[in-house]
Amino acid sequence: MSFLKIRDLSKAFGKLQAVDHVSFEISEGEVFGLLGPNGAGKSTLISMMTTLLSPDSGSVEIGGFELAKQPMEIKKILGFVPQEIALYPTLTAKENLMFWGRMYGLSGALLKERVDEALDIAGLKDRAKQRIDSYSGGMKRRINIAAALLHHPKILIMDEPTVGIDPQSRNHILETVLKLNREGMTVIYTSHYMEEVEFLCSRIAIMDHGKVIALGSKEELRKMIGNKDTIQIESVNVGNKVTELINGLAGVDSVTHSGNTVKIISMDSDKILAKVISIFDAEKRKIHSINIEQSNLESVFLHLTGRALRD
Amino acid sequence: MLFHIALKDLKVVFRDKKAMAIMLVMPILIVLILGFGLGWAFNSELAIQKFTLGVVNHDDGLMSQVFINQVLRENMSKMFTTFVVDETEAEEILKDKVVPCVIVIPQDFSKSIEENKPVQINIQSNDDGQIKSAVVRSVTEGFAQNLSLGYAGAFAASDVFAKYKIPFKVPIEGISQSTAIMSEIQKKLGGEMIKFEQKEQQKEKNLSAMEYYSAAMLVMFLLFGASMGTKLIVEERENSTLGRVMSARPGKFTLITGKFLGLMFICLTQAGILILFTRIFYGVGWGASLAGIFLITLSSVFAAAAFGMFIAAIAKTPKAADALSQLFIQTFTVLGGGMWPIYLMPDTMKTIARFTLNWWAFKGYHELMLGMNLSTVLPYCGILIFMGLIYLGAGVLRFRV
Repeated sequence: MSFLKIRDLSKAFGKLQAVDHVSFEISEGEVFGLLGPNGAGKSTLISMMTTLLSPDSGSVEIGGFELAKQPMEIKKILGFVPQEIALYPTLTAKENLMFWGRMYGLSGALLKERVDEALDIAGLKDRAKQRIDSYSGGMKRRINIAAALLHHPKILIMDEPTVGIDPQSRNHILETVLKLNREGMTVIYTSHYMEEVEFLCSRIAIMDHGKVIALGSKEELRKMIGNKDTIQIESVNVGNKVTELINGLAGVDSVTHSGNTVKIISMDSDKILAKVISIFDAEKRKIHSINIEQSNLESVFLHLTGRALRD
Repeated sequence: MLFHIALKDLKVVFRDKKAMAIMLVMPILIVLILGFGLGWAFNSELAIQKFTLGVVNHDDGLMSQVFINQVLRENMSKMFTTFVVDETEAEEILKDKVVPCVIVIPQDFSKSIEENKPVQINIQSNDDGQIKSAVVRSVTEGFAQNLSLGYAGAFAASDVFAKYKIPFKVPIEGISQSTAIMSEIQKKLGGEMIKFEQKEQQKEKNLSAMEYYSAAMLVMFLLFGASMGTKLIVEERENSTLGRVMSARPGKFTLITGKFLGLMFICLTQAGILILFTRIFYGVGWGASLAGIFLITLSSVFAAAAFGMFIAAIAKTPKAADALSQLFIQTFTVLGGGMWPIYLMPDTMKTIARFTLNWWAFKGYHELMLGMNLSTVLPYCGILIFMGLIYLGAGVLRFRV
């Protein structure tokens, strides 16, 4: 049964159509990934789901409650982790969590109990009395997430929760998300990092220019581009001529270049590689490295949009 | 939730050392510096010390004679003595600092007054005569304005006499009926007009520099206190804490009210600390009416917090909030008498200043310091709350998360 239903949701800012007739459903207990480059419309979509923005048209239903009619009921079951560190730097971790707990309507012994629990989840109980501005980026991110768990939400929306942190904190956060999901929490996870989305999410929606351009499980999405490889070549001064020549080769599905990196999607990587190298040679472009990867979400995105995810 | 939002803001601002320095340490130091540095300008002995001034009279009409003999030499005799000089002598005595200032009566002075046209009395001063010339300017302009008004009345009376054929004998041959009536009016009212001006000057002078600047700086730094809270709101918009609050239980109304209450808490605490500090350590007498002090403080804080909400709503970044706050606060402070005594300002500035909250807040504290009671400051409280409501309304309409 669907826990979250989005129907034909749209939002425009002036002439910019930020979210364009988006529809999808998420089941209870699912970890759902929302993937897309900057400006794809992910944050606007999330802002509408978290009651911060009113949609121009369409509807959102979470846990059986209509967003337009019962926003307070939705707020009770929804936890939101913003992309920014939405904490007060001069307050301690405990003071921050006490404040956010109160904002979720908690008080007294229950508030203290939930704050202790959240500090436990963040793994920062022993540093609870330190100010947030003395924390590392990873520790701040962990408290940022813990603050969204205080009221035991049924659904957790996480907007790029691991931006700019160390691998240790990233692992801690990913493990936390999996643990919460095992306990029954539904999670919507947006990220630039495909490896995180591939690791966590059972189903993924890919957004671009305000639209959902692909939706399905990892396997379903990979099947969209068949058994294709991504050849990544690092060079210098890669110009349009090089990419045009590669694009003209038989067996090449698509070519993009960003900076000094050229990405080629092909079903016959073994056969075309020699020809690609000879093009670089003929154009007097020195190759620094070549990497061949099997199809992944990045290549799916490249295939669908003709652009790299982090362009 | 309202109070939790407000108390959290108070805690955040009072943990910020830079904010504390601006809100508490700076006003305390500035009051001390200005209080000692400009003490001479508030010395009441200096104000009543008699001085001499020159008069250059280009007018050969009756009104300039009345002005020199009756107003300057009779009514103002306790404040200064005058002697008539020609233009060359005036330049010399000014240059040699024999007199601090010279009054120049224009050629058409009497005619302009009789025809109810605006008159311009020029007052020239040397470097030492700035304050004294301001006093003289205030007296002369007050006299000229009231004389013009008197003439308007004299013309009207003259018309009435003519219409109802009421006999009126001109006492001196060769002058018009309206001039004769005006002369009577001026004899009766001229002294009163001047007394009023003297009283105004004297009232300003009765405060010590420490008292004057304690009130002026309190009002100015209340606005700076509010601007600290304003910056916090804009920063919260940038780092999504405002959005996060909205995605939790509180709605927009609770959030905005909580933020406004937070600004009020910040400013009230600041005002309380500054009033107590200046009372205990600088001996500033804030007045005997505790209710008056409380009400004018509450109204000023309300207006300052509303001003803060307005800036928070229009500023897109913390830097813009800072720049806008500085611009408004400094302009308001200059106009509201925070930099130099109000009585030194030209009338136009005084009129513009009435649109600033500093003017009314300062006026309120000022009057209480002079011994006035609660009822005197109630209208000022009303004006401050009205101004606050305008700022708040504009701020709430434009407020976004």
